[in-house]
Amino acid sequence: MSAGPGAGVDLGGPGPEGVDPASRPPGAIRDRRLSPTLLVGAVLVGLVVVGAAVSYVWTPYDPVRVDATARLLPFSAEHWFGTDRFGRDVFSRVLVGARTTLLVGVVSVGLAAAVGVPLGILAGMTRGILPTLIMRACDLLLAFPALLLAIMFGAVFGGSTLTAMVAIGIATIPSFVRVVRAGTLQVMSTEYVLAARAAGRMRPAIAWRHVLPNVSGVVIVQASVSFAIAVLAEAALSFLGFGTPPPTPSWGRMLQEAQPLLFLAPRIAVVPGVAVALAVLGFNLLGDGLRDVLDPRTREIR
Amino acid sequence: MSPAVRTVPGRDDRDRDDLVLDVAGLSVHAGDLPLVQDVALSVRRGERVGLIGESGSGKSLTALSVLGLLPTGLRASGRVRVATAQGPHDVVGSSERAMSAVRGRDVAMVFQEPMTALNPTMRVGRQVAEAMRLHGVDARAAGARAVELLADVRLPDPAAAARAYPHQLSGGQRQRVVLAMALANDPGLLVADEPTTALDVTVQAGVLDLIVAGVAARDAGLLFISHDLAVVATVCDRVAVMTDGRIVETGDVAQVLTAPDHPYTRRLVAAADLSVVDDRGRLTGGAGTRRPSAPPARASSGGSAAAPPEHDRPGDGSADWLGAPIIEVSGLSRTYAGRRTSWRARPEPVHALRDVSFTVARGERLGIVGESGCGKSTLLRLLAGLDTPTSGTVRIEGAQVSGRSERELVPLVRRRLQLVFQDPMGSLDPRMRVADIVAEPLVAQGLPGGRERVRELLTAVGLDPDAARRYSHQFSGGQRQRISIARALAPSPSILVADEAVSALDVSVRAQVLDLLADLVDDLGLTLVFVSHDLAVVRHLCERVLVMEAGRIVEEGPTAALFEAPDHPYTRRLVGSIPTIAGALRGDRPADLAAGAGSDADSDVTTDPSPARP
Amino acid sequence: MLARLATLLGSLAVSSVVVFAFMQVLPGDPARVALGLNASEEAVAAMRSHFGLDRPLLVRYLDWVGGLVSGNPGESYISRAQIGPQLADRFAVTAWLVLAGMVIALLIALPLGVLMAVRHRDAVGLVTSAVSQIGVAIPSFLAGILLIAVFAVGLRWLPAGGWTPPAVDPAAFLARLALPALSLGLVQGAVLARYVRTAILDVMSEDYVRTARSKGLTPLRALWRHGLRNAAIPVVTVLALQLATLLIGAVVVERVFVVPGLGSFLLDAVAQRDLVVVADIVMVLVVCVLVVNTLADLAYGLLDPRTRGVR
Repeated sequence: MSAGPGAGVDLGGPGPEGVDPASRPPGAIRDRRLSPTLLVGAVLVGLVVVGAAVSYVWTPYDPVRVDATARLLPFSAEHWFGTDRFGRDVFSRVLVGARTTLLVGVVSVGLAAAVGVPLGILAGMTRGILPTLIMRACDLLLAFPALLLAIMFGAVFGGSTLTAMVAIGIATIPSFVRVVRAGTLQVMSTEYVLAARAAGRMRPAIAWRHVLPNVSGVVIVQASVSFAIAVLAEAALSFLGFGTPPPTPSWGRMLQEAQPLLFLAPRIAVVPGVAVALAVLGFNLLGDGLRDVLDPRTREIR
Repeated sequence: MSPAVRTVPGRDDRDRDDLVLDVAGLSVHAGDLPLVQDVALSVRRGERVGLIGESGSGKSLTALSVLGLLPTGLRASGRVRVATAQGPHDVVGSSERAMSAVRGRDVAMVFQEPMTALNPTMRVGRQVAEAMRLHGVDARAAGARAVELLADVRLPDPAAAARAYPHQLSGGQRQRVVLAMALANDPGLLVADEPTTALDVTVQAGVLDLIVAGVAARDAGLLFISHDLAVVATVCDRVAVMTDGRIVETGDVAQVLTAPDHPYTRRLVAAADLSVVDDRGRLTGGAGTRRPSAPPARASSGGSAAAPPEHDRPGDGSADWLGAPIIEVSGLSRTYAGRRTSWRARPEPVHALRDVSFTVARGERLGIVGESGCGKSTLLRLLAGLDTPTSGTVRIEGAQVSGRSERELVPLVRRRLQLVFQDPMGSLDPRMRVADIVAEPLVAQGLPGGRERVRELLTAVGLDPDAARRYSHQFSGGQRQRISIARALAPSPSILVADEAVSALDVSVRAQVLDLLADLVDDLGLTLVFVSHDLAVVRHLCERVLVMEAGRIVEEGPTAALFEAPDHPYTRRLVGSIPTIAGALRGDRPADLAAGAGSDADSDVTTDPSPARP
Repeated sequence: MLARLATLLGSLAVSSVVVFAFMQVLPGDPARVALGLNASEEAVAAMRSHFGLDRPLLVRYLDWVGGLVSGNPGESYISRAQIGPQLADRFAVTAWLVLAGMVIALLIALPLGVLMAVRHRDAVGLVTSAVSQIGVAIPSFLAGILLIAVFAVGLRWLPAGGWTPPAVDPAAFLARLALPALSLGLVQGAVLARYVRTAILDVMSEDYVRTARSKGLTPLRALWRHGLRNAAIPVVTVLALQLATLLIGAVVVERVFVVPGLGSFLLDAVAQRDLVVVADIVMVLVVCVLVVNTLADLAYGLLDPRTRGVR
């Protein structure tokens, strides 16, 4: 506030009404700093990441070792989450399964962002036939949801972690293109882009210096939400047998193996089920929380 | 504490029952943060009271408190009493149900933004009728009365307008619909919050006239909130001045504006009057200048606008000192493909600019005025090489600019011509530090200077050089506009183009930025092209002016002469519809402005030729 | 309107090319794949000519599309059974499932979403919002497994799976429809409820709702009279996407409940590498999604007068 002579009458700044009480009541300002949504989301996601990391150095038992003497054991001190019908330790398998979940999520979301963000910026910054083509292609791709695409891939190439990742990634591209294009159009209509052009900036520089930093918020939020969807899709694919092949543990496959045993030991379905739900919940909450921080314009989408 | 509310002479004899609004000790808090403090206000039947304040003064919250419509999270305390048929009703602490019965019947409101104030999915007539149906009028009568009300606010073909959806009406028309809605139940008090701020000046004149006439016809009270002193002076009898959540002065309009009591009011009134300048033509007596050493003197404005400053301009009074034109525009047209309104019909092309020609002399200050949609923004973009004309040419310092590639434009235009924009929020990238913002033209054009140059520029626009490390959202509107100016000056351009550069600023800040611009133009020998809808600002700053309407230049000439004796009918309407403090003190009322605006209040009908008939 | 239909036809054409191209990617000759490695050259050649595999690609594509359009997609390479009647039967099963799921989802989402928005500042809003977040996080097949565990295994109220057509035994039909439809509807309901909540919260902060209140409407009536139709505009778009999600969700849920719908048909065909059947089923699903999206676009125009006549 030191700058500007006569600052005493300079009321153009964010005065009491500058915070716009209509859209953001002052109580919410504190909420933003330590939003419970963000906190819970971060903790849950952290749990999954730590679980996967720990599984590389330590698991209570070998997650794939079959032990006919220890089949369908209940929860106990030796086997925290019991054992499955082959006598494998469920806790160890859940830990290792987190790796599969994260791998599929990171690769598919990474693929979608790597393709979707540049296409979105391109569609937002150019005119004529190109943006129309890109958006039409996206509309079309939306008619092939991740699961359908993965099943098609599975039918032709055989189901594997790779086909699942690629299918989920491709199916996620349109959502990135859409949010990035919307963000780009918004940035391109601002006066600071006009100022940058008047300053002599070329298009690539505008894309890099102005558009990308200003859409990065929505990209991060979209990545988090897409991650949750990818976790769901991977679980469903493994459940159907199109994802990670045995014996590598994955939560979806554990659920598939548990289903025939529902009459005998329903608890076996509970553990991987809770794992999937918590992971999805974590990424969804993280996305919502980040949206409040990074993109105050749109409070919440889901 | 605010000074005691002065009673207006001649009104003492009025009965207390005449009070339609009685506010005392009103405070609004957000948590523990006070936003409005100890406000006292009263409005009587037939009285028009203005509430003046700059952004953040708490005037809008005061208005919303009167209707009990504060946003969630804000809490009002004190006394807000409005008159109803059943006697005075206390708004603070009233139940939602009881308040709903009062709203729209005894007290109604007109909001600032006509574009969003109406439900986009409901026909206009139904929205007006709803206001009556809620208070006991049956459907048939309400529907018929709605059409009458729309006729009262002079909508062309009111029956068709009633069947239209809001998006089929222009901004001015929508504001009339909101007004019709507010007046539907003949309320005793009308609250209008910046009702014409979003409208063009000729449209404003009509809407102001309708508000005053509508209130007068019902012998209702009016609480009129505005930042614009001239508008308040024209509309109101009595005025309250608000700053920092408090009312600092209340009194008769003439008295407050001619002999303000409170220091804040004095500053505000001084800043609003652009005709009072010191011997250097400055408004703030050096407060807004960037350094103590006085820049070369400039003849004060007035009749002799052509008198040049000493430096950079050879010769004397005659026209040839202007030398070769620095900007030459000839036969410039720009046509956009229109929006498709039907699947089969070919879209109508939009002629944003039609055959525009003019020149700007080196060192000249040229104003371009016109209302929204007149093509001034298009013209500015073409000048700056940000858009390509459909036909015609732009020459800058002799070099043909139109149709060049971005790369060719850098030495031809970008180095020579820089822009200052309207929106102090939107013209600075929120993700960049001030240093990078100001240095952007240097980096983009490969010019030397770097950090030192940025510090120099920030000092030149009156900012602390340490501002370079911060982000733009940490600055006030006026400061952000200074940053914007510093960026424009970075490549040492010879031409500065300002697009409504002070329109978004509060009055007091506006004066400082105007002085800064004038200083810089003088000191650096810049040529200034100043685009604005605000004739007073242009008159203050510019020597020559172009008036634009519907993509054409309809009149041009020396500023003072043109505004004293406008020749073209459009210019006459434009000049005639502008509210001024001086005019208001002479007794000008909104009806006079509406008459000045020419074809009475229907002048904004032209902006949307096809209302109704969905 | 016409433009929208043209877009739909274009999308259908392009997606059919994509699906057809996909079938051709498989290495090797479909006839040899179908008959096995031990088949004689003559048998393979006979099969190739029987199915027209020796004809040019374009002819085969047109033949395939023509078959689908005329409702007679020919016979399977593997089982040699006519695909058409089976496709129709299976489609009916999946349609029941999806429609019931959608109805359940709407029944949950509309009241819950409005409640969450209106009470978004107090405990009721917080708790419902948390519940819906958890609902969003549960995959539909997991919901199915849990429902089986509770209602079929634990309480023994409903069968754990299988299918009875409504014409055969309406009571058994409903009993067997209940759990799969619920597992689809519960999860989609939670997702949809969050969209409804957002849409209503957005509308509640609109200027025109404030205008409505200044006329004398209470907050709830202002929301009812002015908010709902405007809030419906974004929700309708989401609804279309949700229907696509339900359709795909049905594929998995059918597997959980052993329901003979399109999903099980698809998975069986994939398992047998019966590519013609796979392509046919995928095409049917894609057509459904595209048609629903088009209908949503048209509904959008009806709800929002601003878009009328522009498209």
